[in-house]
Amino acid sequence: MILSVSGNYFLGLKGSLDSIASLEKEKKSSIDSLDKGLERVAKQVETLTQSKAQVEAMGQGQLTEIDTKTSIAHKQKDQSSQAVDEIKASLKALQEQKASSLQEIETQISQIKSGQDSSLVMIENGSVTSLISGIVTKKYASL
Amino acid sequence: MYERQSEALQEKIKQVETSQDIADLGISGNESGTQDLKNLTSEQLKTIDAQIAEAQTQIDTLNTQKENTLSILKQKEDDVYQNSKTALQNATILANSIVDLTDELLGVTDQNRHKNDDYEMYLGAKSTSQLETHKESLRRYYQKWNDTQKLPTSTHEEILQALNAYYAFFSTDTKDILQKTY
Repeated sequence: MILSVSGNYFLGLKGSLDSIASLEKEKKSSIDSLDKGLERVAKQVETLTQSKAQVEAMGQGQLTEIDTKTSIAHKQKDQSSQAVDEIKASLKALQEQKASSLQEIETQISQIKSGQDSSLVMIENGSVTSLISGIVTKKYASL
Repeated sequence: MYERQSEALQEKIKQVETSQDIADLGISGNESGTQDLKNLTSEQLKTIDAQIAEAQTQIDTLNTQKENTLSILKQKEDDVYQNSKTALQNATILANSIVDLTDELLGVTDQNRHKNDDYEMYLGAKSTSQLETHKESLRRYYQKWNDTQKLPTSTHEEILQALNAYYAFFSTDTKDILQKTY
């Protein structure tokens, strides 16, 4: 009987050792599995964060490139506007010069008319023409 | 002369204005491109942010699962080690019974030396030296049991060490002594 009872307690001790071993195995398995899952998702977050930084950097780079092009285009436009203003100013100066010349010619014509009534002088399309010679200082004058 | 110059200047103005129109188109295109790029980048970033948020949720869920699992395992561990302590206590009772019984039967210790006086003469009838050898084995067994049962069992590590020591004690020493005694 003692042998039998001893065997039971022997099994009880063995059962406890087996339970502890089984528990340690379960702990390792469960925690390892969860830790691996956490590690995998953490890597995903890391990869996504890197992707985000790349997209931001690429977008910013492209925006900078476009901004540079736009800035150049604005400068070109400003330069063109300045050129147009300068040409318009030249044109205006030319027109004023033309008007001044015409005025001078008309003054001369008036002087001629007052001095020589018999002279025939025509001003047509900016050209001063006299049919007679001798009195008029220029036979043909063109502007 | 004035007319030709004037025409030339007008022509220049036209050319420059054409250049301006081209520059305007470029600026307009760039502005549109900038907006498209901003929209595209914004959409991509939104998608990535959503994926990051989803992954973060997964991390939170896994952390919660880990906490729950650790809590369950802790409870299981406490139960297993509590049961182990009970097994050690029961084994101690049994070992003490075996020691007492064999001692009373064979009169090994001073405390029980005279309890078998009535039948001691029959125990060594065949071989006195064999009986003495067995009594010596029992003395070593009792000493080993005294050492084993003094092992601490406060921590899980100590319980595990005690279990291994008890297991070795029962599976070899006790088994051997019982076979020789009975």
